[in-house]
Amino acid sequence: MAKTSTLVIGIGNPTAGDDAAGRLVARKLCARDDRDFDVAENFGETASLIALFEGRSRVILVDACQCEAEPGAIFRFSVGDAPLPVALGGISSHGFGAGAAIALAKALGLLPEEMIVFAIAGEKFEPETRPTRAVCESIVSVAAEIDALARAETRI
Amino acid sequence: MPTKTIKVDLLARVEGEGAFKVVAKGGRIVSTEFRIFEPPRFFEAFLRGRAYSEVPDITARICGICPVAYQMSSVHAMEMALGVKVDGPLRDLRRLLYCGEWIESHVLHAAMLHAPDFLGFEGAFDMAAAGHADAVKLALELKKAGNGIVALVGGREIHPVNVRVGGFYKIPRRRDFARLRETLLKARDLALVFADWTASLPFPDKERDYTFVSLSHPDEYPFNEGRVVSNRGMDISVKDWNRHFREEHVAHSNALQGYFIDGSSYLCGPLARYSLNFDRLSPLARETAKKAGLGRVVKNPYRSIVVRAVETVYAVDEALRIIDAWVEPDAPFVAHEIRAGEGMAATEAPRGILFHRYKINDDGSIAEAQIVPPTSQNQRSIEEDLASFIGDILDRDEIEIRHLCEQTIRNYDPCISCATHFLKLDIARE
Repeated sequence: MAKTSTLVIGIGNPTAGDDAAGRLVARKLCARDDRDFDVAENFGETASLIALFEGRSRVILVDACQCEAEPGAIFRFSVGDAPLPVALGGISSHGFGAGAAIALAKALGLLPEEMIVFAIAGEKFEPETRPTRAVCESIVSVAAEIDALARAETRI
Repeated sequence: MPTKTIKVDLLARVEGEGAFKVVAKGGRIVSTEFRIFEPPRFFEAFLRGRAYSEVPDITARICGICPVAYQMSSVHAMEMALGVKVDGPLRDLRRLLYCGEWIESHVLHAAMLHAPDFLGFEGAFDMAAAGHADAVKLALELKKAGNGIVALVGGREIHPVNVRVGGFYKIPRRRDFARLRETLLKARDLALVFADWTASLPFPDKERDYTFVSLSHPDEYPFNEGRVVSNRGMDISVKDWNRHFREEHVAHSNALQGYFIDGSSYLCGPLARYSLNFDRLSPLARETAKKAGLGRVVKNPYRSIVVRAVETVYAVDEALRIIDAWVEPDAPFVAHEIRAGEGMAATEAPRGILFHRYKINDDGSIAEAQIVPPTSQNQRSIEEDLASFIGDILDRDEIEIRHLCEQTIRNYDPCISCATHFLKLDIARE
């Protein structure tokens, strides 16, 4: 099947509490039959993320984040020429993540024309747990916002 | 007498949290410490009481870069304990899975973590933005081939889930390999270009007379099995590992340090593997090594980046050989009975030998576990490299000294998160 110009990527670990947020957004979008955009899930590994960007003019990334905001808070920004938010630098040295994928794609000239990032503030990330209620509510609203955004003819 | 201390409190571009300290007095190095301060993870302790069948997936979580190595060493050890023999297409498929991990790991380390050291950049992003974008793009493309193998055989790219004691949960069909084969054919060409690129980097002219230790197999470049050999005449069965090697805790590191039973250090990993198994490389990989200026034995650790590139050529080449010859097995795994027993195995993780030993109770639960990762084994060698290679530049600018120290440590592609799994925390302080 031919690729659509827009791809939504849900990032995270589906079995680690609020870290599943991005993937659950992706699954909600995937369930919509009449969509005209592609949806993918990813663990956030740099090389595979950059591979997913290939051939897309618009990519929408959704991931959970750890910050001081209330659990469920939603952040949205467009990746442009400005430096990336510091929080995207990642908290671990164990590997590259989504932030690194964006920075590297930028350095390599492989960024899609338009990239929008949604981050949902998480509270609990323990293995084998379900997302918290606040994050579940945000998953529903982010899915709806992305659905509207991905269908919109006019890009932001 | 003036004392000079070179310290880096958080070492970048390695897997996990580590640091180092070099102390010089009167123009001579008096101590070197490779400090691993990532907290212990106690894997060996919490494996006790878990079912033997869970161990491949639990230990795979020790490392996101080399989970296949943990799965392979653990299933081979379990199979020895349970008296299971896995051969033919299932053995080949395991070897193929290992090829995927080597490609992923070697290319990630060589291009993204280590190459910036040689070219004077802070990291891969700066390097890509300053005229080396093509090399980074090539590496990402090459790494995709490794990801493709692990995804197809292992079920997913990261932390594969398809490996079990006796074989696999699900076997791919032969036709599933068609697309991967095309990817690998292109990857082989990319790997040759990548090797040329690594060979063009400027290398510090430094060597050490290492004791190399690796697996060795009579018919193949070692991945999953072989005897443990050295360039000093060691040639032992993996079963005798604990009669020849020891690990101990040192106060400055949260990872056990491995050494020979006589207290001396050794080196495992690409340099050792290559130097002890050169003749078992494929003709193309040997030719690539020759073109890259490598001899049959490599003692300059900075050239490990080239050896990794040569091993990447080999892994792509070997993956194609396996795919072309592979026939579908009758069953995805060899059935077996649970029984009490002890088993051990060593396989070649990208960074070097990974030894596992397990005692299993008669109900299949784990009674005892021992895991010796390559980074634990190489810590002493890292410290000895720092002591050997820094002495003649102590009068230089501190930034330059620190840079060479970091580059020296990254020669090992140390996986600190792998090394901090040990069982007992026992710190003696005066």
